[in-house]
Amino acid sequence: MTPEDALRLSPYAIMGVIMAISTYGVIAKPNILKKIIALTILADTVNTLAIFIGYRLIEFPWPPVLPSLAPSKELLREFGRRAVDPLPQALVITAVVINVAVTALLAFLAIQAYRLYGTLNHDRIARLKGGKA
Amino acid sequence: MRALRVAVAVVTAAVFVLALTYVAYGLRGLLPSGVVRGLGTFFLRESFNVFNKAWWVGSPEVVNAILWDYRGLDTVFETSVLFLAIAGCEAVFRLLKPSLKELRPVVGGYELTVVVKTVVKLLAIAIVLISLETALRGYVTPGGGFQGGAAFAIAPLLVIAAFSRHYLRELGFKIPKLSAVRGAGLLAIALVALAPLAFLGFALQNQAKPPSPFPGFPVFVGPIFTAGTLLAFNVGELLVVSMEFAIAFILVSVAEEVFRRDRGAG
Repeated sequence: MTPEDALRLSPYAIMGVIMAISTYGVIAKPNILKKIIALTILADTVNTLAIFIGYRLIEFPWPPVLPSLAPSKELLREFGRRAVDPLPQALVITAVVINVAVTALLAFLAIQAYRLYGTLNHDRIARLKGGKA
Repeated sequence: MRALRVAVAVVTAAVFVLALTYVAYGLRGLLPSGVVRGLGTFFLRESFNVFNKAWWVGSPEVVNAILWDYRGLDTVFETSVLFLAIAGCEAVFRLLKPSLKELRPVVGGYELTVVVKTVVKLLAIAIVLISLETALRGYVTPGGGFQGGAAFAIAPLLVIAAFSRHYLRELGFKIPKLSAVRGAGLLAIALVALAPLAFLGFALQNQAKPPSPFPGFPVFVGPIFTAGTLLAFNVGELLVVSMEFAIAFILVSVAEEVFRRDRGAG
């Protein structure tokens, strides 16, 4: 592996590490709020990874937006050769919305759980028998 | 029990990263590469192909074209998921006595300085303008209905933080009204999506497609470039997303005192 390859792969390695840590957080942390935070970090990292997969490793890649409303054939051909993959970006915006929806619902449920049980530790909530801990 | 959970977490994380490495190497070789997958190239070539309009969308912004035309059904269901999630939030935070929610604030309470308030007023106006620009030009420049709506919702959140929930209510941001606007947005999306059916086209059809008799929506209405249905969809999505986030922020800012009293009353 040349230094160039290592540099090219380093973002994936960093994202892999972040995903591993956040997966660990979702499973191992007993506090519901920390679980939610780890989950959002995981989702954001996955989205970043999807964007990175759609990137095009050429000298001057274009964003997937055609710069003209009356394009010539040359511009269209150049656009197809140069622009980055638009599909991951479209999928990521969908994933972001779903992620926001899930996070909002989880946060509301966590607040309500804290109101009812007085704790966010799921081990303690599981041990409750119809009253305060 | 805790040791077991930590062990499970470590193993899961390791498997996750190994799977990721497999995807990064096995699927495409060394990532990222210089070529775009066939499907992506198709979208790039056909989205605004004015020379052969068989599969075109009429939008130079390819991401928006995919969102509301090529993969429009995805976006419709994504909007439904968001709607259901916020409806779930409203259900979780419902009160036994709904009148308690509009409890008057304490007079003479803590207030932020005039500097903060003035800056927030200016910022809120700027945020609303930027969000409208992002949403209404989403099919020409990077942006779209969801991005615009998410930006818009920051304005009520700032107002809640700098002034109060009550001040926002006096500005007209009441949950029933916001729900009505959200409903209007959802209805607009549904109507535009189903309109081609009346002309024997497909649901969510934008431009003319080879197997459908529907001639497609006009790309230019007078001097205004609308990219067919994309402008209408973006406006609808702006209304839906901004109002849903505003509802969530208003709900989450209800005072704990209200919930304590409500439980006491129940």
